[in-house]
Amino acid sequence: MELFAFDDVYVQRLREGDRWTEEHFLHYFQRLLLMKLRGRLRSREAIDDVRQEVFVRVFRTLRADGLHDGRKLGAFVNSICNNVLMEHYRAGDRAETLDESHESVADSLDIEAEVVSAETKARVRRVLHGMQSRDGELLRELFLEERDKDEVCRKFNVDRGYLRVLLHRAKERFREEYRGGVTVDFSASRETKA
Amino acid sequence: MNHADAIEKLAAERYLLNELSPQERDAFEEHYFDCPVCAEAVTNGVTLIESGRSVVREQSAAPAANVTRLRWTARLSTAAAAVLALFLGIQMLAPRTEQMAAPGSDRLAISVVEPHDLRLTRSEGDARILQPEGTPLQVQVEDPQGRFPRYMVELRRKDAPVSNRLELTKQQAQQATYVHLGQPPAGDYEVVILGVPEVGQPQEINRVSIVIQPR
Repeated sequence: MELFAFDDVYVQRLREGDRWTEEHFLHYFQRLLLMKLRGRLRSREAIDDVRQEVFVRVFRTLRADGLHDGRKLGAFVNSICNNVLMEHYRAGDRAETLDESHESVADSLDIEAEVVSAETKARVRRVLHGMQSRDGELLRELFLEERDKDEVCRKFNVDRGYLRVLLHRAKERFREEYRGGVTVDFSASRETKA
Repeated sequence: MNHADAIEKLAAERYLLNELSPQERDAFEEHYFDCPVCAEAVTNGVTLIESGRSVVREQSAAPAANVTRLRWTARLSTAAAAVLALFLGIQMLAPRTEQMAAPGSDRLAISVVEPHDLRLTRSEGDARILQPEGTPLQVQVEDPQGRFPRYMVELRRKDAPVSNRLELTKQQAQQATYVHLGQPPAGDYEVVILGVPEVGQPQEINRVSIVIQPR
């Protein structure tokens, strides 16, 4: 994800239906909304439905001149998302049995399809390989969904603060890996008789 | 929450670890939707965690696949006593047997990338890549341990006496180097990875069959 700051010009382009701006907007906020909704909704379908509704309302409101400070576009999208989520919960209350909780999260396998690729997995392997063995093991345990984090901390005799810092370091390395890498073109090769 | 608060409290990490209270979580979300730096920290972190889960899950699942893919891995030399990974949009891990890879042994991977039009077929433990003619073919070679001083990547057409060959350094192999193999014409090929020791003959580490299909 690129670093991007929104402004009035950007919002004006959105209002005018500029194609590049709309595509950029959708690409940027699809990811952010997924990050937010993955912890709150139980299925991929629900996430897609809420995201779609958020985009519809954002465009409708923008075209009705409903946002006066372009720098607040992100907060605006977030607040619309909160409203849509509340309505989704209320609709769910009517449709679902009481013992089902809103706190259930979407299946990570569904989310995985949108964010994981062979390339990101290769980066993770390089990150794990580049760490001290104990930290690498700790991170592997952290990746296991079913592991209780307090239990992981006890096992490795560290506190939650250490876990946060380790995750922070891993995140930085993961980002650096994205910028690194070497590409070799086969056209530079020589032909040989087999 | 402002950016200084978010940094000081490691809010992105707490968010990813699900450690924030509902109020803190809402405040951080309100912030990161407007803060490109924190937004990047969150999306980068989620991608790391989800990819990490996928990697760990595959590593845990690998031994269970021994029976069905034994023949394929039986072709690996002792030097390649490692987990072999073949990527195809979704990653499929090769088996790990006790004879071939001690637990915790190092990964040696060849990945076929550019997955849009690729399909993988398997029969009797054999693996083949099917790719339409005119599609760029690219493989990724990775040996984090760098156990050979040099490596060779060969694209061999099965019915022809000539093969193309490219050498990689140890450092390149350690960094997971992408090797572009061009757009080979239709035919049956193999990509073969060899490790070149200081002394002695190159040792075959891995090979993947690739069928380039006519359009």
